[in-house]
Amino acid sequence: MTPVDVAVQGIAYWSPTLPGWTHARTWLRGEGRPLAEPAPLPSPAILGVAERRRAPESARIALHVAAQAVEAAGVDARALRSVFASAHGDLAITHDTCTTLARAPHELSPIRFMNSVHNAVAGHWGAATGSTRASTAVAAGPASFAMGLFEAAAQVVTVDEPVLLVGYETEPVGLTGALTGARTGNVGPCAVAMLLGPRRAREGYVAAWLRMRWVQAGAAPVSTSRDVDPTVFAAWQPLLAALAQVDLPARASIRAVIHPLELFVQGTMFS
Amino acid sequence: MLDLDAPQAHPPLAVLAATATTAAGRGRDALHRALVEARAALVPNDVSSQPLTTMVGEVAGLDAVVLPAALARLDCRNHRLAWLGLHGDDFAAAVATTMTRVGAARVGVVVGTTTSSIAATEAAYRDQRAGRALDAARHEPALHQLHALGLFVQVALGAAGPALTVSTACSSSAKAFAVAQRWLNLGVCDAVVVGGVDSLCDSVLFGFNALQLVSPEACRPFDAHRRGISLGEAAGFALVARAADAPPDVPRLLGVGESSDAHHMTAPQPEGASIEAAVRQALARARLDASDIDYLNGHGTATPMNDAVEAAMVARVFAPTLHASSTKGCTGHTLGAAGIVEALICLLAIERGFAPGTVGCGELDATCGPQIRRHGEVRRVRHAMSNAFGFGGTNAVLVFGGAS
Repeated sequence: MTPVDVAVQGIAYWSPTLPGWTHARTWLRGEGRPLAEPAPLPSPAILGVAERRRAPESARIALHVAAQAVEAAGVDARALRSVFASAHGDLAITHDTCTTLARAPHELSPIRFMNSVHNAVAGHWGAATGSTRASTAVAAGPASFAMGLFEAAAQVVTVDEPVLLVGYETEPVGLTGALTGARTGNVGPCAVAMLLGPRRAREGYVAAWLRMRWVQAGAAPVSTSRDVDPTVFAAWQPLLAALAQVDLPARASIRAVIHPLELFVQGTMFS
Repeated sequence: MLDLDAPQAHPPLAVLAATATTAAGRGRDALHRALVEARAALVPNDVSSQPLTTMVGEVAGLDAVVLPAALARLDCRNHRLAWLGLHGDDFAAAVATTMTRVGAARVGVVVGTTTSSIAATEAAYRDQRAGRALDAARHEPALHQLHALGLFVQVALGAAGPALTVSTACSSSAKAFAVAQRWLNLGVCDAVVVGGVDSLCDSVLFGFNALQLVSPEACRPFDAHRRGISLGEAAGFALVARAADAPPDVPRLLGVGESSDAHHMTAPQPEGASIEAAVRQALARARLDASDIDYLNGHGTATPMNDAVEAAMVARVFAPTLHASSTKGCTGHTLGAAGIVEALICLLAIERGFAPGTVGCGELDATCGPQIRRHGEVRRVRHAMSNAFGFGGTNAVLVFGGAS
């Protein structure tokens, strides 16, 4: 397989104690600290006034970082294909839905059901931006973000245009914590967005170059053992840490592994 | 805005094997027979944990399916259905043969599903509410995640290449073909198992009921008096490879088109501009004209809105000689499996020279042009198209051709 090369044109991040890429980048460089008090959930301006107050946690954090990444890249959201990746979707909605179904299934709210489908966040993004470009919602267990990243990059090299990637996970509620094994630890609900573009990006800002290789060759199929789901946020950190470092002196190329991908991040000053 | 990126970036795929298990029965022959007989394989719902009066496409015999020990921890209705699907038409054996040739690490899996194994999570909540000790077997984390299906299929087949679950409602397993096309084109793998499985569960039955999209009677696609959908469950799979590497005597996936409505979560964009864009993108990538399509399997869910918008688009884009129909009156609306099931129906149309009619349609709606047909027809089908327009405004269109 030929390595896939893309440009990273915009980055955004949100978690309650690192409520922005500036915060996260500083912390990842060892130069700062997370907030002592968690920040409130964002209310993304891209949703209408009423929508942003009643939107579920997943939509609020995902659309917030999506809008920020697009703005950081300096491209038009309407022109973008998009990939939304999450292992567990909105766990508060899963909890709510299953609680209602167990108690009084005929009382299930249509809005809640509508927001429970995995592509609801993608649907909100499309309605908010008016983009009619292809959009997808994917999952791959602990490899959800890696596979979403690969899917977005594959689309970039196939259509030769920028593609928006959004990864998000939410706070487990009720039984969903024990059942899914999802642990958010002290990171809380979390979302990351990247605007990926062609290696020869023709418009907008370029933050870094990214090369990815497949490293899974020969691996055994994933086991079905009772292991607790590894903290999915840990899967983002190698790439985010690399992106946080790219403009430091003498950093020609930084290697990061997010199974099953091997990533090489290069700052633009070395291109 | 039309998305007419270069066709050569999306080379055709060979379909080495394909199968489906639906309410109409197990495997290709059962499905073909039901369509020839114009049979509505819908029965009164008895799957939900509390009564809900609706007609559904239920797959018989799932309670009797016993999974092998290695997969017991992933036991749930959706995976039993997947198991039946994988063993229809010797599909698993075809995958094993390919895997021997290219190696397990070079076989990818991409599946579509809307609710996956959510029924297992629903059951755990019912146990908790009833004060029953939570069944330890139900606590398998791998079971309580959307990708449980993708994982199940990988382990069941022994595949070790990339694996992904696409969950974009009714377009899921149609979009899965586009993912496979990209993986194969990039050389990440040499063969991909593309599939879709969705099963009847409380979330989907009570959810669509809450949205008032469910018909009180068997669904009537494109009918002047249609009253909504009939939900169904199904498992479908296809084994695809680069056409250049495959024998010439197998059918081809020639093109995929994708778009979004950007309109509303549960109602289609009324002018049909984005579904038309997906159709035109699929045709452009297949290097075909609308006039080259002999059979169109519509999305045709029997909701008042979808069918009106889709019928108007078909009348606008295609010649009167096109034979178009919806088959959801036969199988029910199989959600995440609809893409793959209806892809197989297109392949059967090509293979067997029969274009199915629209089961459940008594009187065509006024928005239908001459293309939408109530009755099936024996005719040569060189190229067939399948529409999958999902909840949330996510659209995918597939174009298939016969052996070259």
